[in-house]
Amino acid sequence: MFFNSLTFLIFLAIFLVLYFASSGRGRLWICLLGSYTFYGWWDYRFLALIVFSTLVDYWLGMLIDRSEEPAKRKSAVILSCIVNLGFLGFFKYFNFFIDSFQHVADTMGLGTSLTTLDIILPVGISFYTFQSMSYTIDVYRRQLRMEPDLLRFATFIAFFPQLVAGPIVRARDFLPQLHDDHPFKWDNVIAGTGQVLAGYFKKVVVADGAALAVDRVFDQPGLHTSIGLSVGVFLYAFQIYCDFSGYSDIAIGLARVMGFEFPENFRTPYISKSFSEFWQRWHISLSSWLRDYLYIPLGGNRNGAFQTYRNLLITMLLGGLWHGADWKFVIWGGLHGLYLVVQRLIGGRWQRLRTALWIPNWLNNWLLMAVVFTFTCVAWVFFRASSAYEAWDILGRIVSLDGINPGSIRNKILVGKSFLVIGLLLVAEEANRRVPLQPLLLRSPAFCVVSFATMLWLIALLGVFGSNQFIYFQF
Amino acid sequence: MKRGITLLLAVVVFFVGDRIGGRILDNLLYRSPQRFPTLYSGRFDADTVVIGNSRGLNMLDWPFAEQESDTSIINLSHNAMPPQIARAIFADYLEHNPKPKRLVIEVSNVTTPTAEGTMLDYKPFWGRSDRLRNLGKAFSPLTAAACRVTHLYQYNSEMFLRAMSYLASGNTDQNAGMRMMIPPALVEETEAMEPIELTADPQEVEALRGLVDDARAAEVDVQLVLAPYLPAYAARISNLDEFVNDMSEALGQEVQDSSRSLDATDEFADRVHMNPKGTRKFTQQLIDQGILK
Repeated sequence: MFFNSLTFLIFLAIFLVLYFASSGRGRLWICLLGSYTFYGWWDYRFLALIVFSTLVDYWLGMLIDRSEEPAKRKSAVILSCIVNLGFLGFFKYFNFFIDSFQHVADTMGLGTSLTTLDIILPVGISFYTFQSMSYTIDVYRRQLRMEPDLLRFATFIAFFPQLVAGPIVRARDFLPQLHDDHPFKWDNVIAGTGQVLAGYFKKVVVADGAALAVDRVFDQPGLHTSIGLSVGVFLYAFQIYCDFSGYSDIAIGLARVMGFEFPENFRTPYISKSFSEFWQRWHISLSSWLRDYLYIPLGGNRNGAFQTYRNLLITMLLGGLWHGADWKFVIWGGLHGLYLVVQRLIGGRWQRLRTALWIPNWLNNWLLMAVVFTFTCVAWVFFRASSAYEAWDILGRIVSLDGINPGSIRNKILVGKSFLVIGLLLVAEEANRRVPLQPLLLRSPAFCVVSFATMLWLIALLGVFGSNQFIYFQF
Repeated sequence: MKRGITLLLAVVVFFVGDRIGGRILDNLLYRSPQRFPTLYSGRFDADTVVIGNSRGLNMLDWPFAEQESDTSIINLSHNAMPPQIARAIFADYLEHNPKPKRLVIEVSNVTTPTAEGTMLDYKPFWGRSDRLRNLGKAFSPLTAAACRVTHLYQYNSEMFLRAMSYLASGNTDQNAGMRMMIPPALVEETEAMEPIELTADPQEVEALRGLVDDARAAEVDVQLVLAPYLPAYAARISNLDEFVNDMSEALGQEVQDSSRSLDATDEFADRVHMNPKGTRKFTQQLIDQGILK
């Protein structure tokens, strides 16, 4: 049930009526059953998995919270991680590790023959396992008390707006909100609807529109010149940004309609002036999760430069692997780890050089943004290409400048349309940065009417409809 | 309650703007010099109509063809145009414009089944073509319903964007062929390819036969052509001759097999499309063979 499908819109209408018609535990039951219906629509067989995962972490959370024995508490939280990562490892990475091991064995001349399994990846497993682990770890760290109500806990895990592609909402942010009954408020409906519409615009107009051009480049990169490939990579940067942030906006907006406040997941990442800033603006819920539960426990930046670099690389490599069971994602993560390390190594020197050369602030900012965006796009090539080999080939052909005549760009109409809507997006995001638009929706009915109508017109005229899955659903 | 009225007002403004916008876009569409708005505005009057998919579009150097053949030619070929749409387009052409003397069909479009996206790309013209509307509705009743709900959605189409870009430039898209040279890497890749077969979709063959019959019924002379392939690609097609024979039999008329008539790699933009050099050369061949004249 994709967010951009008629089935989902019908489901949502029915759900919201039932949600606001109920209260207290009845409303929690509506949330839970609605979420399980949403999830089961993908594949009902995986309902058992999410229910089992929920029950395990509920019970372990109770054990951790009620026990005073450090060893017992530690064992329980480790068990939670093992169960969650075990599910993730099996469903997502079993065949990847088997194939990789087989490849190494073949290279070494060992006569092994290992069997891969026909495994279907449960939708959203990468998200809800991390969300569930954050609960048990926070309870272990005594940053959170256990949730005694199983219904409420199960709703926290399975809440459908953010179940299948995030944001990864922390228990300490969401569980307290589930204790309150959120009455119907027009302010929430207006603010939430505005964010949902913005999400749909990003997804069906920008992301899916760019996908039409991007797919033609990456399906047959051999047909495209250097400039054609560059344009394809640029468009992909916005496709993935709008696809993912669009989904997050829809999820956060829907939650807002229901009265819940979720933290933002993207904050105009492509204006970042450093890679560390990029990761404070891109997929904030994942990057903060990795920071709090991996990077900092590894030692963070507390044990000298070498260990800091090591911890950064490990965190980013695993962050890359989280995205998919393929070496290209590991390379993507590794590149970002490398960028962070290099930034730490030369950041100070650049500041001194910049001062010596009297480079003004505004120029420095634009240069840094351009550098961060360019190298981010380089990493995106690995993310999108069908393999690491193809990614190297594409980058090589871009750098060779084999064909830089703009006339050689294929599918000019689709490319032109994509640039137009990306332009609209950038204007809107810059406007939102200067004058936050969500409060304006509530203060000015005229602005609300015009902006809602405009977004709907643009979606009707320029949106791409069909079964275009959100990119992050596959993670 | 005030917020509720605001939301309701937004919906009302959306629908009012949608209707007004739809009328404006329709008006703009038929001012475009692009071929299809021109067709539906009845502004064509040609001796020869050419039709096919992108291979049909790329096989004709239109200004050169008109000049050398001393006839007027309209190329109604379009990217991925399947025979089902070609048949509807030609029937609409006859309805809106004077009958041509000759119809030249590039027949390789039978190998690609009609895709929903391709069919629906013609929805901007549903207002003036019941044939295209009915074809689209059969493919996607949901899209047809959506076009009734929001008129702007009817112009949500690459075809419409093309029409607008040609409106802005003031040029026709008669000669909108591919301009690039095939990359050497693609030639090498083609030479290493496993043999392939051309497979005609039965439904598309039936539609193409229908197009041929419609033209004959209207007393329009029909010429059937299989345009050139990149030599290395043609060599990998194991059933090329059989395909030509089968098509000739199915359409009740010999297909002019020009699939191997160009032998230079630098005359191609990719495996299946000529570039301007190849198009010019092939257009001369069509004139010499009497297909365009």
